[in-house]
Amino acid sequence: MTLELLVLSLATIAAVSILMSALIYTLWPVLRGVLGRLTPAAESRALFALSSLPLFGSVLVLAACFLPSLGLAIDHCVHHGLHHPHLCLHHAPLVAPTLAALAMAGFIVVRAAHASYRAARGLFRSVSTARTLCQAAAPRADGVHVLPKEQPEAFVVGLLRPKLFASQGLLSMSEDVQRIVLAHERAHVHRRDPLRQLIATAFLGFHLPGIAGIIRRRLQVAAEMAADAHAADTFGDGPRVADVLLKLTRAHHAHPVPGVGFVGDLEVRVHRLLAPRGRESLGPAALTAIIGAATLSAVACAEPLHHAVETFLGLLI
Amino acid sequence: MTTKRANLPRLGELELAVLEHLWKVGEADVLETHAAIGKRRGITPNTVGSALERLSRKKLVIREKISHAYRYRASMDRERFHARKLVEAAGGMKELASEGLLAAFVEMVAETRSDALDQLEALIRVKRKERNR
Repeated sequence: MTLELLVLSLATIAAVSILMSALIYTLWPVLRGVLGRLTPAAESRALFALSSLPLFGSVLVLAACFLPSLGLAIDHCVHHGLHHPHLCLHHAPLVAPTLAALAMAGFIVVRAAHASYRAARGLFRSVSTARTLCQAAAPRADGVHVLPKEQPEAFVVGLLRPKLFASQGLLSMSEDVQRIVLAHERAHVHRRDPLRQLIATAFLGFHLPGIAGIIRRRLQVAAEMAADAHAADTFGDGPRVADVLLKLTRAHHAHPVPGVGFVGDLEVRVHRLLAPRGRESLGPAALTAIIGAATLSAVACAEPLHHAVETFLGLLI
Repeated sequence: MTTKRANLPRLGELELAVLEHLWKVGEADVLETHAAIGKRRGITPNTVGSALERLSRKKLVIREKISHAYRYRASMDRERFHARKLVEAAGGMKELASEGLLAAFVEMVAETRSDALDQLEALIRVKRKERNR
């Protein structure tokens, strides 16, 4: 691959990822409605897929653009015309990289470097915080690390082998509260939510800033709701879990911690726990089928897609 | 002017077990510590002695020579050690929470209005009544 083609490929990834992110932003009011009809676990999966769409979608489009030059039509560039850059492994790009192409390629390299840095920082911080907390909290036989704190708290830290921490304050509360909170936290451990969030944060680096923040926050809430739903299923009682959620929030009021609040999340979680069941599910198999269909479509439409992307690039750079 | 207190040194699993033992018994020498925690791990008294030496260098244990052997005791109690570790972890926890990398049942930084909680509690009561009908 020549340097010109590399710059052109990176510019393609930049242009297509921005286009996809802008499309998600534009369609967000509709998507939000669709997501709201899913189960929390399915919503979390769908949001994770949406977070990765600009990166994987643009790479898929770029791969499809190179397909015609892999034996499907050797002289496709000539047929298509010579007035714009060419994404072809046989012909030179014809148009030398312009400043705009270099800027777009640089943009995607900087975004990738920033996403990698954030992921590495999150990884380091997770490992070091989990290690420090483990030295402050003795593990019980059931794997719960007990923190010497009066404030009732329970949380999960760690990526590959997440650890569950609960404060002495929480473990001195009623059996009912403890069981519900620990069931919720075990769901986070089982789902590996901190790892999901870290990977999604890296993917969101390829989104436009506004929509990236919206998806990230919604993904966090969806993970909490999925863990709430697991606790509600375990005990067969959503209102009971909602009650415990409010009880613990009240306990936090007794020991306030200064910071930024998210009142809306608590309300959303309580309303979801009280809502009737029977939401639509989007299982891993359905999601795999959607990704497979998108890949097959890209392969089947490789020729027109190739020309469309080249024309679009020609207009941009 | 306030000075920032240095973090406690990072401890390995064996060092932590040795420290736990010293908190439990008050003071011990190498052989006593090995008998308590080293034998079941299948490690030699020398390994336990090295762990005690490292803890001494990290200033977490104090040693005193009595006759021919050193006796060791923890330089700070368990509660103070755990409290300082918690304080050290607090910064990391706050950063992880803001990034969504710490999954907590109730957001640690939540500031929820009291009247909003009252309304939600009333809603739960209504739903419970509906279910019990």
